[in-house]
Amino acid sequence: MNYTLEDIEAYLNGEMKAVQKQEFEQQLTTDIQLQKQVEELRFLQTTIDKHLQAEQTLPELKKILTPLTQTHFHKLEQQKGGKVISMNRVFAAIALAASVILIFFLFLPGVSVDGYPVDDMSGAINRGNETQLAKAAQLFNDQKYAEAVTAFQQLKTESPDDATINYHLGISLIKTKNFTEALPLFEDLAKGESVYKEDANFFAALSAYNLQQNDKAKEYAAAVKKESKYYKYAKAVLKKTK
Amino acid sequence: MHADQKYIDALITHDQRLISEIYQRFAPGMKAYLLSRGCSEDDAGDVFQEALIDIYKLSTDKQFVLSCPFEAFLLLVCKRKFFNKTKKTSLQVVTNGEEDAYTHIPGDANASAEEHANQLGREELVMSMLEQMGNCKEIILKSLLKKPQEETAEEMGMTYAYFRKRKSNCMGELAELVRNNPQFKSLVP
Repeated sequence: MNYTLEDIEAYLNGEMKAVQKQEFEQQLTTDIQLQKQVEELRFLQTTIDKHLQAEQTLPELKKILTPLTQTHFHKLEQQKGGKVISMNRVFAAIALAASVILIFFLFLPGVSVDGYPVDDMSGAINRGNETQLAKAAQLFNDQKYAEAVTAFQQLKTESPDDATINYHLGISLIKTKNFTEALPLFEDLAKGESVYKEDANFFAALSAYNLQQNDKAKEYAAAVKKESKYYKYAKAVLKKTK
Repeated sequence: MHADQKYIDALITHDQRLISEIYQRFAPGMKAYLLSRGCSEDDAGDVFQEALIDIYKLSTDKQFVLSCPFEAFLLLVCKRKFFNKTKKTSLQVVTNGEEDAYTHIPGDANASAEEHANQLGREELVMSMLEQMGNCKEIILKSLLKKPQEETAEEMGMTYAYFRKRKSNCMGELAELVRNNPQFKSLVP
């Protein structure tokens, strides 16, 4: 007998009737193809289930990890407390730091608002994966942003709330200087709970800045966290909107 | 099961004392290694923390059994994570960095660690492919909620039968994406 995916799922979820289950298990002992399908679906289900479960408790774990990471990986945090340093050394250090900052501002170009990095979108076309989304990802990664906008807009009509689509559409819009349409996309993402929430604050700030909505730009730029790779660019936005 | 399973359990149970021990024992070495490879201090911190989070996700259902020293597994996850980071940025990897610090890890431990890291890689790929599946993602995720499927179907404006059919089709689509992914294939034993 040929079993469908629905049948296999029913088996894995314990929803098969006793007689049907017995027949299924009998076939499973000899049918290698069926064994593979069962294993494949079992792996997918358990993986997704497990990761969903982990996402729910992750914020609690991060509360423990983040301060430890700060302590063990960031020099300034490590040096806090303990050592007595003479005031002369403090003044010397301040003077040195001030000189370095002065030299930096006098001779080196500052961080440009537009110098921000953009990560590739995963899932671009490879063999057997020529879905619309994969094609859009490929256009995005090839920096063909005008074409990517069209592709993502088409996908958005089918999945209006998909955070991945909205985020990459937003960046494509920014890259094609369409800040008016980009801004509301990033504002929604910044309010949401997707993985793009943090980055969306910067791109909302960047869009608002380009639309000369400085108050809004400041508000979003200020929300970019220090750990974010966009932090220094958000600072540049804040500087420009002073 | 390796004695270092205690660190896996500590991540699952959020045991502050043992998690601090993880940092005390392994952060200095991992930091020295990553810095010697051209990684910045900030990025090294990110890599280390993200690696621990990945290990947590892998083991959160309490089924994962560590068969090598925790350090060997963590090192490999950090290495892969750093390598992926360099691919996304213009960061250059220093190829003659400090490898000697880890010569105390026995060869068979590296093999087990690789097996674990591959499992982690496979699971990450599944989740990243699911992330790109639009409507299907929503259907799959909602179908895994701990509430009656009939209720979920109704909320989504579908009949129960149609919801089940759609869910199966979506799982089939995901299975095909995963099966045909070359990176996934390279991680299968």
